Amino acid sequence: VAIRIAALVLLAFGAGFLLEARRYPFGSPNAPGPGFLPMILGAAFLLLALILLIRPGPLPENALPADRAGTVRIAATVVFLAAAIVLFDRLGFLVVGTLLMLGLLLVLDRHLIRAVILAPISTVVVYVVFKTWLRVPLPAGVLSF
Amino acid sequence: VELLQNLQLGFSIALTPTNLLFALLGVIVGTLIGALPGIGPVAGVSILLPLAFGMNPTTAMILMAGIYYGAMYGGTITSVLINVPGESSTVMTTLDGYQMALQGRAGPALSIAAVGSFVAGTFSVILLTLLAPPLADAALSFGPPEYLMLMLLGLATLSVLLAENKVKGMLAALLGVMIGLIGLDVITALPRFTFGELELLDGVGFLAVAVGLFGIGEVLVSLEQYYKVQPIKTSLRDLLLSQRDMRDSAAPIARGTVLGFVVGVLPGAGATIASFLSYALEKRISRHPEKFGTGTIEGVAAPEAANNASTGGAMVPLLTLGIPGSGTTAVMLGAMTLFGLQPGPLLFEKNPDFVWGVIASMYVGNVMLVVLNIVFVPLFVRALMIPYSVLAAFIILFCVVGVYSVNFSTFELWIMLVSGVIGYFMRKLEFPAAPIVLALVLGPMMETNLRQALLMSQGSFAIFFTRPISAALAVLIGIFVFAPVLLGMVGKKPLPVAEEI
Repeated sequence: VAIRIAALVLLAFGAGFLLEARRYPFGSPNAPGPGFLPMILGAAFLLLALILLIRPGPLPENALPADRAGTVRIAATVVFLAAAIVLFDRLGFLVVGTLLMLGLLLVLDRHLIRAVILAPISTVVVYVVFKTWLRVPLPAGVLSF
Repeated sequence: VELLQNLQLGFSIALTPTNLLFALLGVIVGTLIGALPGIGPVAGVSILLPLAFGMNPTTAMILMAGIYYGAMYGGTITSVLINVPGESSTVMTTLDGYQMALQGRAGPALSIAAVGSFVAGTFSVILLTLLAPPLADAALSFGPPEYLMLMLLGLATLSVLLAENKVKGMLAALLGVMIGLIGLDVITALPRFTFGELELLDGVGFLAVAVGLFGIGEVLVSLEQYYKVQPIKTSLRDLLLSQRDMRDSAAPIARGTVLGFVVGVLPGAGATIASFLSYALEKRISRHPEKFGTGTIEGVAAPEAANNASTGGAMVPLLTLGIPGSGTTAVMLGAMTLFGLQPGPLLFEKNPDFVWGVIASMYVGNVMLVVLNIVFVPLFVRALMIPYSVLAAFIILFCVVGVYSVNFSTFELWIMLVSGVIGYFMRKLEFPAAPIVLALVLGPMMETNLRQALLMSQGSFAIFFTRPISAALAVLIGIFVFAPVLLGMVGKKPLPVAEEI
């Protein structure tokens, strides 16, 4: 079933892709336009997704989540990461990096002291290496040096 | 004579202090990445690429190549001591390596792996040195049809021939090409699939996708269930190989080297396949096949030699044709273009210092690795004791900073996150992820070549079949793509490898 759902998602994606591809000039084989390849690819993709829907094959062994705790860890990681990206430019790397590390370590590692020590240190080290040595303009934000 | 001059040039570049330092850094990081399960060379190379941005391209490539072949060494440590493959290319090593460790022979297992890797790695670089220049010369006569067919062949091998489920493999490859279409059309400058987003005009960065799929995606999968890292306690002081070990391993190492190199050169097939085939080969020709899986040293020596030899092989198409055959080399190719190099046969003429510097550094790096992997094994074992929960947080932090460093844009971070989530589901549902990265890098080049070829032939697809090299490649692709599909329909397993093991 999981694979059928994936196939449906892919099918929808392929259909959307084809719809968008139709807006670009197809040209002709002797003068292929920008829409030439997208149409062919989109059609092939749809066809394959359809095959997958009909013949999904056996479900992989580990396809379903193992336990709740694992799912919570994954969801938390994704949410933290999304939050970090939203705040990245606004609060700057030092704050966001520390918060991200703190959050991840607390949820994944569940070791308060380790998290409180590691999060700021790792962030500052990365900041120094990338900002001063490699001259990557990491956003400074509210805290900076 | 010319070859010697070239090598001399190469070593004069590879032996400068900076390049030596970065080769060393590369192989150490590579070994670590190899040893740590849950992060592989694709993610490693992608995440560390930003470190290389300020450098000159040669140094950057030396670093990336070091990570690439270093990872082949490092994976062994985990396979032997924990029975968890550090990399997919060391899966075979767990079979006999861990058994050897249980019998108290972890030292010899690691030593023979290091020695075998060194011999194979060095020989494959020698073969690379000898084969690459003539191949680059020959490739000068290639036109758009040949290039298109070569790229298709690589993609077909990776996504169809080697994938467990052909349909999933093909879907992944198509998806990669489709993502590659996003952005300005190369020929007409028409924006495609950008939905008015300015950030999408330049296309979707391969790096953000690669880091997402292989870095974040891998971490997410690993977070689902912690495994216990419990290296078996064994004396590592006893690293010396007996005469008998050497005698038993010599022939398997030699065979593994040749096989690994050949598999590495083939587009789409890499270290993992090389090690599988090599193990299967040894088991088949052995006089005592029943001993395989019980801790026989040949079972460690051969696949370890093969996976290292494949790295030298994989550099052949990358450097001579500008066509990568795997996820890792695809990222390296993308990096080359980011550095303003034009990958392809002209590279040898235009940037001899780059090509030969990198090749020479691989000789040096292999020497470093054999020392590292014999003397400093205990240190790497200590690194394995870092809890994965802590490691995961660090990997994620590095992914974020690395991807941000490419364009200084948070938009790329979103692409990374989305790719990460997609990568997670792909892994769970056993869709191969490597074809996406390869197709994403190759896609735009394929489209340009396709359209140029059709312009050359005034719209006739016959051009792909009337030129001899192109036609031969087309036939191969046809066999690869359609034979397994047809076989699959009657429900047969097309690859005998899986059953051999």
